[in-house]
Formats: sequence, structure tokens, C-alpha cells
Amino acid sequence: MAETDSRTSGIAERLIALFLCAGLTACGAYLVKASGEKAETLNSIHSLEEEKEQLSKEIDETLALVKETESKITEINSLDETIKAQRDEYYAACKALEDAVNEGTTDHKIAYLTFDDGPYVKTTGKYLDVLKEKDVLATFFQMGRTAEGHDELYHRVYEEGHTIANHTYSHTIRNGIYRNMDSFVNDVIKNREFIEEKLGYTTNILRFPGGSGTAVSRLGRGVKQKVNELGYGWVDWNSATGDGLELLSPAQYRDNVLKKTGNTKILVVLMHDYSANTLSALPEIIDGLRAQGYVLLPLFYDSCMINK
Amino acid sequence: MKKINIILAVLLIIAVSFVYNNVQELNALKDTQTQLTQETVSMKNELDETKQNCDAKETELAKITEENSDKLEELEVWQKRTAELQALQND
Ligand SMILES: [Zn+2]
Repeated sequence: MAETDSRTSGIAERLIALFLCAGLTACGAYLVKASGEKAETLNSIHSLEEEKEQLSKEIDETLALVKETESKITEINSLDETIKAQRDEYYAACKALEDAVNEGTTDHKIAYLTFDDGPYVKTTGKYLDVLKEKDVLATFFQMGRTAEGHDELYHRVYEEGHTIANHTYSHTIRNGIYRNMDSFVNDVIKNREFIEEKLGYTTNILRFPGGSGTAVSRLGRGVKQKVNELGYGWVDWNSATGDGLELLSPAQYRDNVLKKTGNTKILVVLMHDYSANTLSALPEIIDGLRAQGYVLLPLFYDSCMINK
Repeated sequence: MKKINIILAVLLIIAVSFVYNNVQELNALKDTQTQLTQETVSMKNELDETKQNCDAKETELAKITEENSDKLEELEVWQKRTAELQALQND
């Protein structure tokens, strides 16, 4: 009996041992399989992380490109202001050169070419052609002209970079604008509004028809202060072809400017863009002034030649 | 025989605990993998959207650049004039 018990217990122990061995083998097999799977998963995680990193880089790059494109779009949408700011920067450079000329720290001189009483359908366009060809910016003291073809000229003068200035709307020196202060002021304002309506541009430079001497002789010294109060600086001239006074040949107009420059460091040259002979003389006037060391510039409000 | 069984039993307990830890670890790794896969998919979508947005912006830029070519040219002219005048002053 005891022998039977002992045998049974021996079998049970062997079975338990067998079971334990089987359990151990199963665990071993699982661990081997799991280690393969683990390696595979880790690989996959690694490559996913790499992919994520790459994607994140691409997203950042694309977002940067979007931002850059958006800022370019904003720049283009604000081009009008940028151009205006660039024009102001140009005038600041003009002012710096003018200061250097006045202080004697440069050998350059300055000539401001000015054309009064236009625009004229027959001639102004040709003046603009010459100025463009010679790469010169000038100043046009314009009146209010409404006949056919004038609109285009106002725009062309402005778009080609010249300064547009106020020369009163009607320019009626006799029995007109100088009758009394109110007539004069109303005519100046009428021309300001006319130019604003045409070009969306407000000019703050004025030349009295006939010059400040004529204006003062008719309306008294107060007229200068009056235009300053209206927001204008005014300018006369210290050089002229003489085309407003008498009909002379192109060569005489040319000489009136080039032979009378003297030691003047800053010239304001008066011409009229209705004159065919001044037009003929213009290329030589430009070349001659340059040969004498003059830099040709458009007038700007801060110029020392503008009386404020 | 009993001694062997005890040793085997201890070994099995150790092995089972190994297996248990392994299962936990593997599950955690699978979770990470699933999460990363989802994140990758959503990032791919985000990239697609961003690229589409970028294309749209570039088209818009090309259009308004074309429309404003005169103004761009005008700006360049003023920049050139300014630079020339500044250079002249430094002569
Ligand atoms: Zn005049």
C-alpha cells in the first residue's frame, strides 16, 4: 500500500515537473517571439518618429513660405504708400544735396527747371518726351485746364515723376485774380481742388502768376503770408529763358539761361511749356547746365528756394 | 524530485513575471505606435492643407504682381533715382 502511494506520488511529481517544464518552454517561446515583435515595433516607432520629424519640418517650411508670400502680398497691396514714401526719401536726398551745396561741401550745383502755365495739348507732351529722354525731373506750375486732351497730360506729368505745383486756376493777371484778396484765394483753392480731383494729389508749392512782385504790387505784402496760411510755400525764379516776355530764337533762349548762370549755386529756371522755341532749346539747356556742374532736380516743399 | 519541482516552480514564476512585464512593455509600445501613426496621418493632412493654402497664396501673389506691374516698376524707378542721388552726394 505504501509502495503504491509512493509510486503515485512519484508519478504526480513527474507530471508536475513536466507541467512546469512545459510552462517554462511556453514562456521561453513567447519571450523569443515577443522580442522579435518588440524589435519590429521599435523599428516602426523609430521610422514613424523620423517621418513625423520630416513632416514637421516640411510643415514649418511651408508655413514660412506662406508667411513670406503673405507679406509680399501685403507689400504689393500697400504699393501706393510705399511709392509715396520712396518719393519722400528721394526729396530727402534732394534736400541733403541742397544742404551740401549751400554748405560748400560739394562741387555740385542745383538747377530746378520750372515750366509755367501748362499743360498745353500741342507742346507739353513734347516737353515731357525731352525730359524723359534726358532723364530729368522738373516742376510744372499748372493751371486749371479742362479741354479735351488735358486730363491725359496732367496724369502724364505726375506719373513721370515731375512735381506738379499750383499756378492758380485761371491766371487772369489783369481784372481777375488780383482784383482783391478773396478773388486770388478762391482761384488758388479752385486750382488745388481741381488738381486733387484729377490726381488725388495735393500740391503745396505755388508760384504767383507774374511772380511775387506782381502779386505784392496788386494785393500788398499780406498776399505772401496768405498763401503760407493756405499751406503753400511759394517760389519765384532767378533764371529764365525769357519766353514769357518776348519771342526770341531757341539759341537766344538757351543763352539767356546758360550765359547768365554766374556763380549761382542754386538756379530756379523759369520757362513756359507753350513755347516752341524753348522746346527746341531745351536739350541744349539741359546739357549745358549739366556741363556747368548743375544737377537737375524737381522742386519739393522743403527746398530752400521755397518761401514758407 | 520535490527539490527540482520547487526550483522549476520558482523558475516558472520568474519566467511568468518576465512574460508579464514583456506583455506590458509591448502593449505600451503598440500604444505609442498607434498614437504616432495617428499623429503622422494628421500631420500629413495638415501638410496637405498648408500646401494648398501656400499654392493659393502664390497664385494670388502672381495675380496681384501682374496687376501692379506698373506700380512696381514706378517704385523701382524712384528707388534707382534715390540711390543715384545719394551716390552723387558721396562723390
Ligand atoms: Zn504764369
